[in-house]
Amino acid sequence: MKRNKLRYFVILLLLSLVVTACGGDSDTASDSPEATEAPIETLAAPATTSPPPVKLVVWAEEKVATALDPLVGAYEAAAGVDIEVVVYDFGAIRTDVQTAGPAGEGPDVFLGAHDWVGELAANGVVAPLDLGSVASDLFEVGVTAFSYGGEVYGFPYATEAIAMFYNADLVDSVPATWEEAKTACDTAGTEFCVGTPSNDAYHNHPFIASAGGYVFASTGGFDASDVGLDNAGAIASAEYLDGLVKNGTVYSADYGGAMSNFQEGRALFWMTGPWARGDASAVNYGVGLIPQFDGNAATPFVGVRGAMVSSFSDNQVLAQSFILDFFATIEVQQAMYESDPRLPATKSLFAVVEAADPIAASFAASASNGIPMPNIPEMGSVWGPMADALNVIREQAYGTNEETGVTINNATDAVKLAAEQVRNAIAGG
Amino acid sequence: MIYLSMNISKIFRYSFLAVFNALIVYAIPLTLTFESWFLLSLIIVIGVLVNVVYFSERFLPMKWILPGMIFMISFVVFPAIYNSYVSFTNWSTGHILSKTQAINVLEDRVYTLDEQKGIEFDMFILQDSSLDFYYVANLDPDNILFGKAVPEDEIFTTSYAKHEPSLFVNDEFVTPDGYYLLPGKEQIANSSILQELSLIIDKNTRVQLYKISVFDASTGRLSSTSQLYKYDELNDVMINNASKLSCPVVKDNFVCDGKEIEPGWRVYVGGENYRKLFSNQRIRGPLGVVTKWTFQFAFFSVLFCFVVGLFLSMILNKDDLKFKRIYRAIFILPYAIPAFVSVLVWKGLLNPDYGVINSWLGPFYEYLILNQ
Repeated sequence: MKRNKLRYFVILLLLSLVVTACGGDSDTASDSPEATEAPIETLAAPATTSPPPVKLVVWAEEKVATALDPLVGAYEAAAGVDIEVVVYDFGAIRTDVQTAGPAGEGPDVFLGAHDWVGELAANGVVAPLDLGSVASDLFEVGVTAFSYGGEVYGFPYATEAIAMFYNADLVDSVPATWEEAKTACDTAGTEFCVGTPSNDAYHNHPFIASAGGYVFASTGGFDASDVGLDNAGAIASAEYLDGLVKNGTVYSADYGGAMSNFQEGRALFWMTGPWARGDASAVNYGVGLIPQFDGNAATPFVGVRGAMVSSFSDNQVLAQSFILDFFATIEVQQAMYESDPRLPATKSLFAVVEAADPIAASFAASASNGIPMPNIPEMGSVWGPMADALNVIREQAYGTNEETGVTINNATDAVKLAAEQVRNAIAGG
Repeated sequence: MIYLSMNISKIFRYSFLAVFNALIVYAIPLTLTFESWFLLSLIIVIGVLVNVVYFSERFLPMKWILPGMIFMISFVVFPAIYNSYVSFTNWSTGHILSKTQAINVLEDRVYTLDEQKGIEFDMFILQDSSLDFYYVANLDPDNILFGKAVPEDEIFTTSYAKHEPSLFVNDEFVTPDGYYLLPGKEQIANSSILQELSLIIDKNTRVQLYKISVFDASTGRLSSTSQLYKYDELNDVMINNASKLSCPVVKDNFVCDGKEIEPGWRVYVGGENYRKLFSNQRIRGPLGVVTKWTFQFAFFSVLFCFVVGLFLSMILNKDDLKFKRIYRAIFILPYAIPAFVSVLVWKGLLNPDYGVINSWLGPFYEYLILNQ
């Protein structure tokens, strides 16, 4: 008896759970909104079909999301949309939007860096964004950075470029030339002079590109067929860098080493970007322009952050309106700046920031001499060879590499090899 | 008592099966909605297998193996097979979509003639009693155009918008009788429908919604009635309406006038990736180096682990060795530290500029060199 009762009870439990599942999914699977009654006579408010509330999904990295989250509430209430701001790892946004988008799981709007545009546009996952009247308040460099193949693909909100931090206790400002920088270091008596990571093409870009060298020729867009890493200007700059390393103006370090040397007063200068302001505040610091190269202003890489619309979004017009009508407003841009202090890409906000913050003004001056990182997909083939060449010069690692059998005897060889590798990669790859 | 314990095991089994079956029954209609047939067949196979194995009294070994087998096939075997499949396609930048998706992306591109670019104007959206949408585009005082907003397939069959000056009195918009003006919130609620509708002005021009504003009037833009790209299924070409070119398919892209149109799509390319692996020096070089190092590392790490380990254990076994416990404790420590941590420590030790090993061996090295 007991056995039978238990068995029946258990089987009943099993069946009831199955039945619940059946009953449960008849509500969720058939998701289509129910058609309401026939249209009523009063035309003041016709009984339209009540679609589910429109949802916009925004992917942003942590600092940006925390700035954006409290502000969207106002827009949500006014517009009747449901905006979901998802915190996403910055590097992962670039890869995931390309897999999730085509699969239908992607965001409507995502915030990322301008050098993604080429790859995303080539893969068809980002939609052209017509900036319209908002474009007049944006700096040219931001709009150019987000242009690819004649179309603009994003709304730029922040720019950044490296400049020279200096130890304000030991020196008054950054000298105008590298020779004067060396003299200042000798006078101040610090162990090291100018620090910047040796193996990073982004930081070392001014060393090749300030006196006529360039990665890709930029006439409107970037031209992958014209590589200027080994032209006369680049070679001259590379040899000059070689001289700077040999006489000790620029010392060999990685990012952490350069940072700790500056923080502990062992190095007088540190060449890096605005993200390091917090770290640099260990000493009394100032920021100035990177010294000139043979009378030419130093040309750092400018990175631009912006908002883009996914081409697999179901609500493209709404996403566009969200960016242009809400994200582009000065209140939101101000909140973004306060959370993640980069240089604003909108002229009106920039004027406010520049007046209040002289350090930001210095970074802006440096950025105004810079060029955006090329956003074409071919740029991916450049980082490796360029970093290798610069590393050889910075570390003075001349000679024959046993593994690859390549001989590099001087800076000219290094940049020539890099240019050749880039051309081969683009052509053959 | 035995009956009782058997029943307890049966209770657990049935409860687990109940929950599992509930999940299966829930999942099946979802996969049907999304038309993922592969997932559907997978769910059915797993469902049947689990039920058969756990309901019956036989299949005792399978009862133990089945969960592990399911997970192993899902997370080890299937990814390996899928990876091998992908290595025979051209999946890379510019070719990540399927052909249908690529065509859809291209056909979505809006085409605006140069003289129409940048023209923005206020737009009002009306709805009549039969729930059709109407657009009013305020281009200029002589062109207050009003007409039905039509979807793509009706563009060339509908009548053109008409100029209706009565809609604007003293620069204020006046809603005509029989129509309802959609406020910003309702425009947004219907945005996915509205973005597909256009107001036709003439044979070549139409008005589309550009920005939906919550408080002010929405903004409209002009564009061409023909899309920039139109796919001709019969001939498998993409027609560029701006330049009137016909762009045929070349392997994995449409090619217009010698230029590849991005995005392309995935195609099966056979062994081409493997051919490139061995023919392209840029890939072959590092591959050779890495392969060589892999074998070297495997060989030497096994050799040294064995030799040094054997040596140390033979010493430790000697009866007359003092402080055995201390040695044992020291030898077990590396085993307790995660490999990740020890890798970082060794990396720091071997640092050429600041590492301990270099700074200790440095003087000896210099002494030898100097005395050479």
